[in-house]
Amino acid sequence: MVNIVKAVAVDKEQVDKELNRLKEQDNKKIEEELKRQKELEKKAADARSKRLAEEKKLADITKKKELQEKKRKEEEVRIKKLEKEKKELENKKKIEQEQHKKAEAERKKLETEKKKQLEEQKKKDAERKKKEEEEKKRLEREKAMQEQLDAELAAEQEQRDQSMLTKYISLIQNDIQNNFNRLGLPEGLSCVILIRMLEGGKVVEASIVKSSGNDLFDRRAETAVYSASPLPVPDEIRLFEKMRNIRFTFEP
Amino acid sequence: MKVIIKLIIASLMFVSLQTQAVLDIKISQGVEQALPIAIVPFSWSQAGNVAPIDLTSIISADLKRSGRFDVMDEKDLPQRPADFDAINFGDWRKLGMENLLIGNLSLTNSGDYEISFRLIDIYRGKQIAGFRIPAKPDLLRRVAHQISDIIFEKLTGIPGAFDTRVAYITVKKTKNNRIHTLQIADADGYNAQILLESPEPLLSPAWSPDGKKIAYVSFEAKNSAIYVQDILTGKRERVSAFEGINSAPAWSPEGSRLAMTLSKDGNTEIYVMSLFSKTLHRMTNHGGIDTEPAWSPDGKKIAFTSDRSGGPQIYEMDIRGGQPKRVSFEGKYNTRPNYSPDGKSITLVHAVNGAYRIGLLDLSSGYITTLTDAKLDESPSFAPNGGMIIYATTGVRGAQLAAVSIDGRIHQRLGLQEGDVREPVWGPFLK
Repeated sequence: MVNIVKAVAVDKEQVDKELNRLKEQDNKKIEEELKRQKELEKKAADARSKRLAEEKKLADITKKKELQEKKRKEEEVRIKKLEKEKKELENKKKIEQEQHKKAEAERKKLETEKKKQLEEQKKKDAERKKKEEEEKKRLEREKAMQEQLDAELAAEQEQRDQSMLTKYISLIQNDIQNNFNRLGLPEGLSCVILIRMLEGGKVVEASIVKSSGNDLFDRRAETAVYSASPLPVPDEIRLFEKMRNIRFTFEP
Repeated sequence: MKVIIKLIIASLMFVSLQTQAVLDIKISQGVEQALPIAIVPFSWSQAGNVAPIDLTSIISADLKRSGRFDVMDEKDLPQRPADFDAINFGDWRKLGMENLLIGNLSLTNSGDYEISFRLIDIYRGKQIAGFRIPAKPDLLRRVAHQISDIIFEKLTGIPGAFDTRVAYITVKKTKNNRIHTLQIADADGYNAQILLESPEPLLSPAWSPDGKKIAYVSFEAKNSAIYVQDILTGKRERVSAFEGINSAPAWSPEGSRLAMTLSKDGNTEIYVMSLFSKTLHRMTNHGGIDTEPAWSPDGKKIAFTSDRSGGPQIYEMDIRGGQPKRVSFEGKYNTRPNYSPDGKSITLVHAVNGAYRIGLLDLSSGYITTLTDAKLDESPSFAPNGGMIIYATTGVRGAQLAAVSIDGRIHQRLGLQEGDVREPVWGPFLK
């Protein structure tokens, strides 16, 4: 830096200040020289210790290398031993596996046989079932046919029965009317008599289920039923059963 | 307990019948025929002696005469049971017999009689009626008729009229003159009793409603007169002896008045007399002949014979007066009206082709049914039960009593009297 002294306006205080400033500048230079020398010395010391550390480090590495070698050798032995053990184990395992495999094969063989048997059985069952169902269906068809036939026969029978019944009803009605004496009976009366017959038409029971309210009328109606007994009925029991019970309504 | 069991059995039976199939048959017609009945001869307690009365024959005759019964001949009886337990129902049923009468006559310690009987329904096997009746000797015959009445009512539903009496006039010719009598007898003609005998004509007997008196016309005083006579005492009273005709007395149903025919006012007209005061009330006023009045059973009307339309016909008029109404139109001759007990019909003498017969006029339709077929029948009179009509019929043997059922099917001659028997009139029910 270049200081230009200015000629104008110098005063004492200013000169002192300048003088101080110059003095301070010289002091600073000395301090800086001292500091540089010190740093140099420190650098030399650092280099020395560094060399020593390197030497030590080298020695350590060598030692470490030796140890490593030893360790490696030991490891090799251990590995060899391990490998041997492993081999033995594997052998053993192999034998076991083979045995197991053999057993498994046996088991599988048995299972297959069993399965085969089961399937055969199943097949047999299915066949039997099929046969049974076919038989069942055949029977059902036959039954249905028989039923239809029966129904047709029954319908024919029913028709014949009805015409026979109608004939007997009219015969019975005629007989009762010929025996129902209305002499002197009041007009407008009616009664209901329930009767039961034996085979052959004999009236064994006659009960007035609805009275006319006039004892004479009821009695004459009852007498008509009894005096007409035996009533004309069919000999065939099956047909007779249809008319065993008769309800007469007297309504002259 | 027994009853309860029976009820249970009965209801079970009913249920069983209900559950089975039952055939329905309707009976809409029937027949009308005489009811079969068998009468077992009454047993008699003093078997060694002759019974004082033949109850069996009397009852049998009553029932036969009614026309409604077919009585089995005694010789046909399959058995003669003395009591209910001895009846063999099967035997009777085989013969179609429906009703059976068994009974007993016995002498009591006091010398009176006791009659017991049972009427049995053969098909039901049950008793319909059973009675024990004590009787004095002179009432035995009446008891027999009472039994007939019970049987009749039980089996026909109509009261019997066997225990009733009839009144009639007889005329007997002698060498020099005629003897007229007024008589009463049981309805079967027995127990005839003469109430009055006269050489002059007796006519038109009429029963009082209580059956205790008879009014009649007598010519004993040469002119006709109407008398009322007490049957029991024979005491009589002349109630009407006006100049001219005094005829055809008829009692009012309540018994206090007599309707009659009088000609005291010039023409034959119908009058009503109060028996208590003897006051007269003239009913008809017509130039023709009005005669033979008859009271309707309800007492509200009088029927009579009149020739106001030409020939004799029957007219009806209100007892309170008013215009008579002609009710007979069939034929040219209808006379002698007599009402049926139900008031629905009138029996009369109806001429058909010159023959006088007994007819039945149905008041609602106006039809006349001819019930008899002789030449000269007269004086019809209803039995109090309305089932029979008694009348006089003249044949070769003279006039006789006869009866016909109202359906005209049963004809009966009551030929018990000698000589002519005329103007029968059936008495009321005996109290």
